[in-house]
Amino acid sequence: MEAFDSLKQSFLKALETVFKEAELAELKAEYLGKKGKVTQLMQAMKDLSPEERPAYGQKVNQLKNELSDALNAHKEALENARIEAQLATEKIDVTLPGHDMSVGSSHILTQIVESIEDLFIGLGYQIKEGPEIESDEYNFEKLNLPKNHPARDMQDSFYIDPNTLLRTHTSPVQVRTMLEYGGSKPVKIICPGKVYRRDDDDATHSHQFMQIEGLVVDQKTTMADLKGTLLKLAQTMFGPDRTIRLRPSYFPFTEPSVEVDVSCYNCEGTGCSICKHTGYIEILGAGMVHDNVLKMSGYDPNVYQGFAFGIGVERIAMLKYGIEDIRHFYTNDMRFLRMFNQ
Amino acid sequence: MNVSMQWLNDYIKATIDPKDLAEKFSLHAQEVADVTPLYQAEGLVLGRVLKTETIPDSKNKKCQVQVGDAIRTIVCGAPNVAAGQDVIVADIGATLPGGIQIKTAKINGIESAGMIVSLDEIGLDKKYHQETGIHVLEPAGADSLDTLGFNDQVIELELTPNRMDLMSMLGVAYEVSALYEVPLTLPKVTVKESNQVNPVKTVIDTDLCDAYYGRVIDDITIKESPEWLKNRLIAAGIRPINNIVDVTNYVMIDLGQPLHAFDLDTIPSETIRVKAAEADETFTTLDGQERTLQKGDILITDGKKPIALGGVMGGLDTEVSLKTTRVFLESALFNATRIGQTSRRLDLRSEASLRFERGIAHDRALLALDKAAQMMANLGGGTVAQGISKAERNVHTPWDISLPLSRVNGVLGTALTIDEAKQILSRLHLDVTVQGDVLMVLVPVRRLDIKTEQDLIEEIGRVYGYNQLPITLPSTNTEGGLTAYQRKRRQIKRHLEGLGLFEAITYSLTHPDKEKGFTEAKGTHVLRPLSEDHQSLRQTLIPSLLDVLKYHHARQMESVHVFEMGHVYLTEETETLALALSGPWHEAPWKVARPLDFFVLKGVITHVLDLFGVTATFKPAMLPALHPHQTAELVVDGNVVGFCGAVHPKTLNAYDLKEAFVVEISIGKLKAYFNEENRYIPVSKMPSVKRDVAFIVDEALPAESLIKAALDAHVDHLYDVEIFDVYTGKPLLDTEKSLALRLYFNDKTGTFKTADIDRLMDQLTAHLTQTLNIRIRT
Repeated sequence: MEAFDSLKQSFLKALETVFKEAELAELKAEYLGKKGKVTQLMQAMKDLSPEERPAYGQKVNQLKNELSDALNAHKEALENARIEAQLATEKIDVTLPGHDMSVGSSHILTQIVESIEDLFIGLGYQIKEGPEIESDEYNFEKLNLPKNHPARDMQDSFYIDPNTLLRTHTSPVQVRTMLEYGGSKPVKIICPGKVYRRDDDDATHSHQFMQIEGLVVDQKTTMADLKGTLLKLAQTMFGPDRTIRLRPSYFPFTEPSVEVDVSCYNCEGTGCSICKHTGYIEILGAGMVHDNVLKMSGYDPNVYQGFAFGIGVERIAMLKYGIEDIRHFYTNDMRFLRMFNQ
Repeated sequence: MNVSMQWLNDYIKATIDPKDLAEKFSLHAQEVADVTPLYQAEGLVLGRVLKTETIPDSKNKKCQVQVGDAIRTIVCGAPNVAAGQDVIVADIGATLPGGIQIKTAKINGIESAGMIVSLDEIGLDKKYHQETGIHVLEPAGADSLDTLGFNDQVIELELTPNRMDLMSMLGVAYEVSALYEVPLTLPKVTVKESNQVNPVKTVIDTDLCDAYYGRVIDDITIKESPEWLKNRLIAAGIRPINNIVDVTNYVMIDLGQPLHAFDLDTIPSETIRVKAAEADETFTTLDGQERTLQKGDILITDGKKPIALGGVMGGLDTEVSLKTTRVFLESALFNATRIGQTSRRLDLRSEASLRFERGIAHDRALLALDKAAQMMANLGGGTVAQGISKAERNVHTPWDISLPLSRVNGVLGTALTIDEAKQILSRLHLDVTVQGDVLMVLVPVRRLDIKTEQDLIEEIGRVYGYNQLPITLPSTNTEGGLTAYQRKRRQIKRHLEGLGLFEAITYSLTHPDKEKGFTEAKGTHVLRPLSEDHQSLRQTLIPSLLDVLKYHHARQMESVHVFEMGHVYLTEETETLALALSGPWHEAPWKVARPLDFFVLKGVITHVLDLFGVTATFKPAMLPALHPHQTAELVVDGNVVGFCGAVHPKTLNAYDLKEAFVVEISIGKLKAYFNEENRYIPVSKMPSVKRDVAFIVDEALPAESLIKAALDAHVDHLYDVEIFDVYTGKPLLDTEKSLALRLYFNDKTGTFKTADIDRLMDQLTAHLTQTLNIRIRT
């Protein structure tokens, strides 16, 4: 039995001197290998009587397990030490900034257009688009603005030739759609897009801007429907507590025509500098489609009636965010664009 | 249109607060720009200068001024102050424009109690007067500053083109009467004619004049108009000139009918003919300018030569002057469109031409003539001759419109009764009768804007109040949604934003020089550009995006990655997508940056095209503005749909840039290849095998052709080929390069043995070496 103890002691002593994983294999072979010292002890069993063998065998196995466990524990300790040493060399300063994987952003005007599109898609509208170079016929004449109409002064335009111009509003898309529908089915569309007017660029004027127009034509479309629709639009843009106010106005393509004000979101209608102390802010123009417009686009005004409205996208953005200069939208400063990426 | 509250009071006797009127007008009639006092001064009183004394060593005078019952001592520096004058005094406590407070002050050692004021001092713009010194009133008699109009309030209306009926005080009065439901006092004019007979005959020779009336006023004296009249004109925004001209303007504002006064003694004949001008006829208008006329301009003639350009401007030779004693007063109805054309062409737009252009109430032409004639006689000390010169062609009479109540409620969404509807129209002084469920409306000629059912519905709607209408949503049930194309567009934008790009929106109008090197076409020009920089429609978005890069570089921001989707205007208008990239991307500045190069750009483009369901080939190409060896055309199905590349150093210089990569893809052309459908193919359960092989090829061989040839070999189970290494240098020749391919094999029905793959590889390499004249690099 003493042989067992001394074998164990010499193994443990040898183990303590091993600091490399490779040397462990040698030690393992010396003691636990096929010709190892523990194996030799096992071979000594054949010299024993059958009665002694089981106890002896058990003792050898126990020794073998003990050495094995010690070896494995030492092996794991060495491995851990090696990994830790490796990791220590990989230390970093986690406070250094990460790679710039930030996303960009869609233009604020696109965002407003898309949010209005989404509102109207939810209300069952389709989105119609059209060319920016338009004929005088579609841009003016079919909208009840014949040549020499005094209201043409209101929209000084970029002409390309006497019959072609850059559209001054997206209304020609409404005309195109009504003609496409052939006067016999309901129209429920919004028309976003770029429009152009001969205005010198300054803080509040731009020769190019974005507009969204809406058109509903059906047999029972009323001005009350227009009011309800515009209220939804105002609330989507400026908050659920907003109210609207309609004032009489004039557009050749609608009658009655109205200017639409939204209750001031800044002062809740009590009067402030944003609403010029009126409690209301003008946001868009609208009205019931003029009989002549329906007629010229193939709809019988005795059967069909409708409403239309038009909104300036820049103006909405300027009001909503307090942007003071319309030219910011066309400068495309990333510091500006990034402000709207939430 | 400026509305003097005092003037309005001629027709509306009810007391109305100007602010309240402004609010009501805004909500029911027309936009109100402002409500302001005619004079921005408070605390003005009438004073009479009783005595003036010189003050030693001063040019000031010590004045005794009677103000009400009190006598004040006021020191006045104006040289024109004199005893006996009626003047305006800013009393102690008065406020003058600019917030100046009047207090008792010691001037030249004298206690001065108030200030005798000039028109400048009470805030009258120089365009209305040329006075220096204090303002001396005509003997005021029983008048007060109130009755003379110095305390008037002015409402500035912003009229829309349809409401020509509001371009007169009487027209505004009709509206006020309707909105407040108060009585309207209609104008009454009595002309006291003399025994002299009006000798003038008038003849109309053109359809462009509906009626021409005239009166003769004899023995008048030209002088200044009285204070009240001048103040009313100033309230209307018109400069007072003399009693005759002022009366023509006054009655125009009052009743909406433009008038013209001729010096009758300068007209040789007694017949006035209205005719259409011949082309190139010339005429000198009263501003001294010789005008070349066009066929159809309306001319007033003495039978031989022109004396006025009808409705636009009088003639120099027949103008009323200080010597005038006999006036021929014209009140005419000219063609609206023609006046608009003539006045615009000659840039002679006036209050008169504007009224003609918008349309005149025919039934006021004679009323205006009589009113003005009598006023001229009164103010000029003359007499009105007997009889009216008269020629008529086409004078409006009232017209009928029948309006079913169902249409009113059907459009407005209301539930008005027939009585309510009738009552609203009656408030507007329209003549309404009811037949069953139909309103029969007789429209007076002053309301030229009411011609249709729809016009009447608008009247009912606005007077009733749009804010009283119910709030509902359309009952039309339609399917809403984006089209496939619109959905795709949004998807592309989100994808690019996700990659870190910013969306830009730039101007469509550009300068054609900016497009040089990108396109050879001239571009479409607009006829009257506002600036050099915005004169033609762009044919490419890239210069605009390079401008965005330039803007940022000038501000020390060198990493800029932007895109834009917008229309370009080539032979037709199409939508394109453009990107411009500059500076490292997704970097951490403290580390070695991943450089931006052609292949970063190509990676972005390839995946954008993936989103469209399109595969493009990149074909080496040349564009003068781009790098000659780093530019490619994007080809889909044999059609060029765009281009991409590194920007040429010379182009970079023009934008002060160090590097930039750009791409432009015609979405319009790509549309034809859109693939919206996703397809399911079962994922292989079997392991894939990958093999590498390198080839020595000609240096000029495009890598893509090697990949294409490998795929075209149709080797069984080969499903992907990629280039994983490109090598040039020793031991290869200068004319050679090595391209290493990685090949992926998969058999869905089983696993491969090494020999299987070897056989497939042999088959492939044999194909490639034979078809491309290349050899395996060993």
